[in-house]
Amino acid sequence: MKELDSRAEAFVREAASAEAEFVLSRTQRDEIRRRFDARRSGGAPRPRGPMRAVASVGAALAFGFPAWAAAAVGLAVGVGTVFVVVTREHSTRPRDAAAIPFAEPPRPVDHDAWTATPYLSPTPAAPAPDSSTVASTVVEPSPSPTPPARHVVPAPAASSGGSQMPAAASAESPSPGSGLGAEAALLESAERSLRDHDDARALALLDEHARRFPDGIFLVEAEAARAIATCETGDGERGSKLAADFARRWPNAPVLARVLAACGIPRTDR
Amino acid sequence: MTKAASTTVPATLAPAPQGFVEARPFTFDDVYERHIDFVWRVLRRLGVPTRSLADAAQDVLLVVHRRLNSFDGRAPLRSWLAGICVRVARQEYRTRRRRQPEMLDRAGWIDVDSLPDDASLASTQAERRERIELLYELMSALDAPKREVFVLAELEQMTGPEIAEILGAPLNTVYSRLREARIRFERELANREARKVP
Repeated sequence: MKELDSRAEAFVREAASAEAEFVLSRTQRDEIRRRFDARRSGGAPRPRGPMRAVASVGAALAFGFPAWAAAAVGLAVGVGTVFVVVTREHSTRPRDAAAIPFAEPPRPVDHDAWTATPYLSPTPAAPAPDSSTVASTVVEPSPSPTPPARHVVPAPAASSGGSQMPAAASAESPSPGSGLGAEAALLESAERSLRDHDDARALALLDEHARRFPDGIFLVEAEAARAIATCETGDGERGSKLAADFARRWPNAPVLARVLAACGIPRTDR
Repeated sequence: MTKAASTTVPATLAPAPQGFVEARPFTFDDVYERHIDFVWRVLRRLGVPTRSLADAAQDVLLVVHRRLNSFDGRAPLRSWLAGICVRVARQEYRTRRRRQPEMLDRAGWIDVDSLPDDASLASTQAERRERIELLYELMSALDAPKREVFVLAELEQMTGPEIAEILGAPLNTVYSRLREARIRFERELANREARKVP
């Protein structure tokens, strides 16, 4: 197996190590979680109090991050964190990502009018999770070259986004309304039908999944369920073909063993 | 196989039985607290643009929340999360390609030209920053399948079999992509260094 040559390997190791130092601040982590909880509960994340200017870390990270951050991960580098505050009318120089000035009122995004102003912002490491709240069995060795000294991801500017951020964000990237939740619900319904041995309904739901989400996130799971459901209907010929197709397409999928077992196909070496 | 012959539901497809969630060694909260930085980092390394990272992370969290019960623990949790990140990053890429094809140059997902000059940086800081910028620029020369295996192998230090399981792909395919990615990466790096020589 070809490895990277020593020069490239050293380069990647150093660059990746430096890049991995940038992690989310506690404020950013909390805001991402708050946004997720709001999405899960069915409500749109709503700006709160002093967070109005950014609306959410998600939106802020989506737009508050400067253009150059789209390149190298929104990172600034070095002992001091270099970050570019993209502002339209003013810039900020937060020294701590947890102290992002969020008090500015929302402003419409105007990419053309943005200017980039770099600043140095040494930022403290994000606090480690409270170990008392996390089961020790969760701990896994990190395979990444993250060094002990950590920096937080540079804070987003507070002035470039505003109330229109979420809408703008959804125009450029997968959004809460992109259908992922609907796709997950559809797959879960199919799996529920499979569990209840209502294979016909399971297959109907999986057909719907294939129509609505041909490149869906859960494509592997859906195709596995289709093969299993087909085999369970007693259509062994078609089921075996689906299972064989699945094995060819995803020979290392963890669910393959279940597919083969359900269809009575002995597993061979991959 | 008849329906009667198969009375059990594959664990990886079925919702967890009653009480199973409580017995698991971790919860969604645990996963979030311990791995949100990993998720964020893998997404950005896979090439999700900064402006889309927050939305992509939300999608990963949604999948984790909905599917954590189906995680059987046979693979490391990080592998499972990386697999979700790969799928979400692919979705994000497809969406961007459909909506903003002009934003895609080569396989580049990164706009390195927008990086500002910053003369105020100390030399070491500047060097480190240049290194990171260059890493992302070089990775942008890799198409999505090669970038995936390159990131997982070279940056996240995962093994070939782990990556094969994450992608569901044949091991030989993983090695083939990784080999091509390394060659391309080395060539791009050499070209960059050659251009720097006066």
